[in-house]
Amino acid sequence: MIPRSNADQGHVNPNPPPTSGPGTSNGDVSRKAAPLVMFGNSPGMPGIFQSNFDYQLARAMPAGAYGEGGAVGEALSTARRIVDGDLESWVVAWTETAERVEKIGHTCLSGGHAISARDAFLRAAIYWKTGFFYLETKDPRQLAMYNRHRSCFLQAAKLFDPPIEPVSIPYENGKTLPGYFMRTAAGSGRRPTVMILGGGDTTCEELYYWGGGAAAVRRGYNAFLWEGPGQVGAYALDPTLIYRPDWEVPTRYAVDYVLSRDDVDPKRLALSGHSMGGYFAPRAVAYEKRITAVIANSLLPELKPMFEALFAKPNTPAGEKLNGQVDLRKPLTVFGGVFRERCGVGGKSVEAFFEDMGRYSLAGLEGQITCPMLVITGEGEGLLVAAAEHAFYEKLTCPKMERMVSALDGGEIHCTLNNPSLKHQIEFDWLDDVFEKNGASRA
Amino acid sequence: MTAPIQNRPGLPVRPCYPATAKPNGEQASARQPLYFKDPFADLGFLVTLSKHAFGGSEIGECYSAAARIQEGDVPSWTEAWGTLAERVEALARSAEVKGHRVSARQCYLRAVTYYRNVLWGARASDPRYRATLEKSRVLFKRFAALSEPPIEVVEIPYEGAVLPAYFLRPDASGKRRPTIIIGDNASEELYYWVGPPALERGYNALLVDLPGVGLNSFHGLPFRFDTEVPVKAVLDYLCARRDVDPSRIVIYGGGEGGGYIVTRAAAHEHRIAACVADPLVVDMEPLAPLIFTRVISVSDSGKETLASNASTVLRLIWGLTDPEAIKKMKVDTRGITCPTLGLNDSHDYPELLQQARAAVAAIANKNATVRVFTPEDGSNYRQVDNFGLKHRTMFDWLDDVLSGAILPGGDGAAQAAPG
Repeated sequence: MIPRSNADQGHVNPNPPPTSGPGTSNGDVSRKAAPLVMFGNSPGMPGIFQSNFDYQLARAMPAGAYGEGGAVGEALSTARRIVDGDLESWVVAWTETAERVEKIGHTCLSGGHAISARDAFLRAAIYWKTGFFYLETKDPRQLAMYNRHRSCFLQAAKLFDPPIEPVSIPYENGKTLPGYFMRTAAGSGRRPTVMILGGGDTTCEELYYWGGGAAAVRRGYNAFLWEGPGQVGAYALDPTLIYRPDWEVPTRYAVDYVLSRDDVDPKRLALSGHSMGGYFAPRAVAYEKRITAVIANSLLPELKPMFEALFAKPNTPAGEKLNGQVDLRKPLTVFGGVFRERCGVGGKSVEAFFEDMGRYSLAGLEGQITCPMLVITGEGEGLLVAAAEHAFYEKLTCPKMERMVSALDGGEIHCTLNNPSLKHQIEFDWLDDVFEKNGASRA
Repeated sequence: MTAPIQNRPGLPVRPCYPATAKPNGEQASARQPLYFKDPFADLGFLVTLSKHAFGGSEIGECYSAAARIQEGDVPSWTEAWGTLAERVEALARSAEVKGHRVSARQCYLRAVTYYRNVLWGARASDPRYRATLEKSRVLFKRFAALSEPPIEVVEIPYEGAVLPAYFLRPDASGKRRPTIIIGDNASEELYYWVGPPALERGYNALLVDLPGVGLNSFHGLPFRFDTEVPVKAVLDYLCARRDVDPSRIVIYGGGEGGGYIVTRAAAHEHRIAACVADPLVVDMEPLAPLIFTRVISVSDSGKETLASNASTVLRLIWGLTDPEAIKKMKVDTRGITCPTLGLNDSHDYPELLQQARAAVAAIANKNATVRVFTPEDGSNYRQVDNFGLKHRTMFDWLDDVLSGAILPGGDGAAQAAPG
């Protein structure tokens, strides 16, 4: 791990720690501190914030890249209006930017400039998502901003050729799960298809971006962006849908939908899971045998120790007066409260939440995963993630590949979010190879 | 769905960056620094980061390289970008060998960007400068060959020699299309400025090394002030192509040099249907010295810096070495009979802004307008941190001009410069 060396080399420190005020609670996180689990600061990150804001900024910065135009200035100028660690300034700044860019979309659309409109709606969708990331459910802005996020993406979806199709996946008890089907324009007939899944903080809309939707259709794959119960959009649309460990159940409904289409090649159907999806995807394929390849970025075989490390102070034994030790003002911890609601343990103690996470375990399923599997891990995610991933990987008996992305690659952060190009290259080059080996011609 | 978002009142919002942070008190372009104290390094880093939007870089790769650069140290700049370039080039070659065309071409393009950053580590007269330029050219040609449809590598006949160029088409249909020309820097660099947005909107794009640019200076084709002469050769070439609509050929130029090249050409070559000057320049003489104090500040100490290296390149490619030649770099605005759009920035130095505003009033075609971008538009400096804004503005204007939405001689300028 190369330590972040901004300070050593005398570069501009764009955001010195405030000496007082709302940002002070983050003053204990040093820029040079050893990375904590998953979201630690590392060389390939903007370094504009010291809090988890930096990771979310890196996630928003490529917003323009998936349309046709760059807009890194939009993200950077928004960041300049934010006080590190101050959630309110975060929400206000992103709201301003999202409103402005969404308006550009409408202006372009009424002027007949469809490409410019689509591009602006795509960016606005990401800015809305970035803005509400930390908001609690009791804050009315959370749902309002989610709705704007979704409506911007829906407007952009219509402006693609072929259009991105919004899908309601039939699910248990007459309920539905949200998704989008992206048909590749390259080639016709039944195409290889990748089902893309987020994790604990994603909507299916944003999977168009770094999740790999745009990268898939460019390479001649269909993409199915979807959410299961508990994920951000599914829960916003129906709060009775909470997370469940038996992910093969929602996956079965999603696969039923995908295989009902006449443009999907059933022999070449991949499932790609991100973050908490690095638990869901391997779990699903252990039971759902219609899926013929699986990707986990990162592979998370046990969620409980991950969340203990994320939300508790380092080196704190779980269960020991945690509520008193967790700094509830920290952005990531506030997010954790929302996350616990989506797990169905919203009103309960942190200990109860950790206990619940114990149900999410892949232990014993190593031999049940039979399709080829790709595991991607970032060096910046810390040893806890890497060690757990590798131990599980070693026990897999399926055809498998493991890829550690380094800081030198500039893709070392959780889900390779600071280098989507490299991420997509690793994923799709591997899928190309696997599906050709499956004996099906890709032409 | 579009109910306004109500934020809590009374919020103390202050800028995250130090309010006093200016790269250099002498600079009119008081852009807030992003990463480096050295204004040129910071601008170079910003432009590199911006290119990610067209697959020209990746955010994590940029920050990872930047973290290994010592402030103000040229060799560490060269080393950091060179290492990254080699790494990404190796990915490209490996992906190409295995038949992963999309991944290979994307990696080649990023490697080109990173090698082009290595260029600032040497003066134009340094053999390493030429070698690195040649290297980036080789890799761009791999990107070109793997693109769909492939980017054509072409040579435009010019006074017994040739101007190297790339011709980009939205598809392989052979349909006659509007076409945009750019030629003020090495063609590989120019890709980002017009390539992707042109293709997306159904335009062809011609990226050409005009005299002085790219390797031309090394091949006996130096910059010439009468830019209409090489541009005429380019128009002759384009008009002979069956996939170019000769009535819809437009020209774009970036930087002071590019702004001059296109307005000068448009004043003489009336086959040009519209002109976008970014920024609008019609008289280089008063501006030439300011480029090296206000845009890239070169210190008097004689110490090698990224800016001092870059200044040798700019002087070479824009003909700013000979004071007598600079005096001839003037445009008779009465000759500009096509619609003209100037792109300027509220951070531009006053002399540049004044020249643009005066030129608009004097241009023969009444559809001449200048758009001055502000930080509120989401652009902190010449839209290099918001290429989408630049492209949306110029291509939406071109769409309107070419479709007749703005009638020749009409008063469409107001619509052409949305606020």
